[in-house]
Amino acid sequence: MRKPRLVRRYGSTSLLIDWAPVIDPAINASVHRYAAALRGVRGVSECVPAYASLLVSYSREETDYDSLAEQIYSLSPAVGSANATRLHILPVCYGEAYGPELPYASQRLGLSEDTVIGLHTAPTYQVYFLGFRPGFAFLGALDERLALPRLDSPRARVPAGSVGITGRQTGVYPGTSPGGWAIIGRCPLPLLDPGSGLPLLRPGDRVRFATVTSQRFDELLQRPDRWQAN
Amino acid sequence: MASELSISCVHPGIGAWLVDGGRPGHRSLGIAGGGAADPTAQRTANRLLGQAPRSCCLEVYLHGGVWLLSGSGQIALGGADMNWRLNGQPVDRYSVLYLEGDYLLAGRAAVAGCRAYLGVRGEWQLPRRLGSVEAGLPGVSTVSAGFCVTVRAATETAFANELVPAYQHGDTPLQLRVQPGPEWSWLSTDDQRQLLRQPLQTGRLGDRQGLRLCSTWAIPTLPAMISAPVLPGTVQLTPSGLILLGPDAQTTGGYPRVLLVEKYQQAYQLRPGQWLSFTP
Repeated sequence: MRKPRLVRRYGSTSLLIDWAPVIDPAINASVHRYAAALRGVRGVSECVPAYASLLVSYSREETDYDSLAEQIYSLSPAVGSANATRLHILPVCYGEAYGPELPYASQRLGLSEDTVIGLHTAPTYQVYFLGFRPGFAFLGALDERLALPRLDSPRARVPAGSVGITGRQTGVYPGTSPGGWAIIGRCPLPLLDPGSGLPLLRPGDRVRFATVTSQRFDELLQRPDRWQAN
Repeated sequence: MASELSISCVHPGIGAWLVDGGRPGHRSLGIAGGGAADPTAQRTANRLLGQAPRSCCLEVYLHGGVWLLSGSGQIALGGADMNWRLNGQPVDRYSVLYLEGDYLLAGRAAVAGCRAYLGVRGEWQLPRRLGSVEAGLPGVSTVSAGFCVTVRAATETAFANELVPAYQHGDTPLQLRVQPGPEWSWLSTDDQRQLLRQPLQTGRLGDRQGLRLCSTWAIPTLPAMISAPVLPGTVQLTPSGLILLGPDAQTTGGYPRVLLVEKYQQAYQLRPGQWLSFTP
């Protein structure tokens, strides 16, 4: 368990808890344990975790900055108190129209397209946090051999399901949106539940990608319930 | 008496959104809190109609557009002055209007403020996700030409009206009180002074996510940072300038958060080209 470095005000009804500003699984796990512990504290209305910081919003009618900061400094969330994690195996059709930047990634990284796909499907990723757009999960750590900078000019429209990579991160765009990551494939499953709107992936969950053909992609797009990998 | 009014979009103007209370409490899922960009205008329109402050309204940006209202019901127009007309006749804002029949509601370019609200008494028959009709999640309605919604009311409310609010006009900068953001100390003393002194001009396209602020200030290059939480009212310093985040802002961001504006909603009634300045 890593203790935060700093607690400070963020406007008049929120505060920010900061850890060392790095992308690190142990630090991120601590962020989520603090979030879980603080969600039960009186007056706390919302906890928003990121890589190495946690935003806590509160009601001034029920608590104040000083008493919350005091409670945060004295917290020692138990190891393992975070929710049990789920493993998602997501089908991805790589390359061609599904992943228009796969050739660029392959060329830029000096790896064959098959090697890029192999390195992307090998690890089990951790969901560090959700942000940017509803249900967009920041997944890591991406193999360092796949580290690419953000695109010079972001695409105005990335189709829903697009699988992007940048730096040591990867993620799936849940809806059509602008995007600055290199798109190497597409996932046919809805990442936001069409009925409730709730995201499939949650902080702390684990994710692996599995290659599917374009034929299987089309089938799963029509019938996502036919995906039985998990 | 029960009534039913249908609203069809003939032309949405520059942009129109359905707004209600938004989706507070879901930011950890990447879902913005949303809500009206000018909640005061929304609240007042709904109070006139005798309903809950965050009942559904149509939020119309910069130009009123053209709407076909058909059936019977009560409406109230709040927010920006868009020279609204019903069947060609000028109508009052902040006043309960009784409709019975077919009407063409048309607005022009906003002359005071930039966001207007069309409130209708009753229940808007729209799909909701996580308790809200607002855009951003699958299955909800978005407003464009051809959009149509029915609003049903079980009872009528008594006539009421309100004074029309004043909005910032001309070139006088709107003064916004600020607090330092987490990365404020990354700026040099000189840049801090500049940022608090100079007037900033609002950019051309104001969406509900962020308002671009233009200035002659030479933007300093700050160190890169990993994504961290942001809130509406946060001022980000990006390589292409300052952005004041709004109700539909992303929940996390990777640009330095230099300032925090408590009452950022006032800035969301500034038309493109109007001015604001930050005061400590």
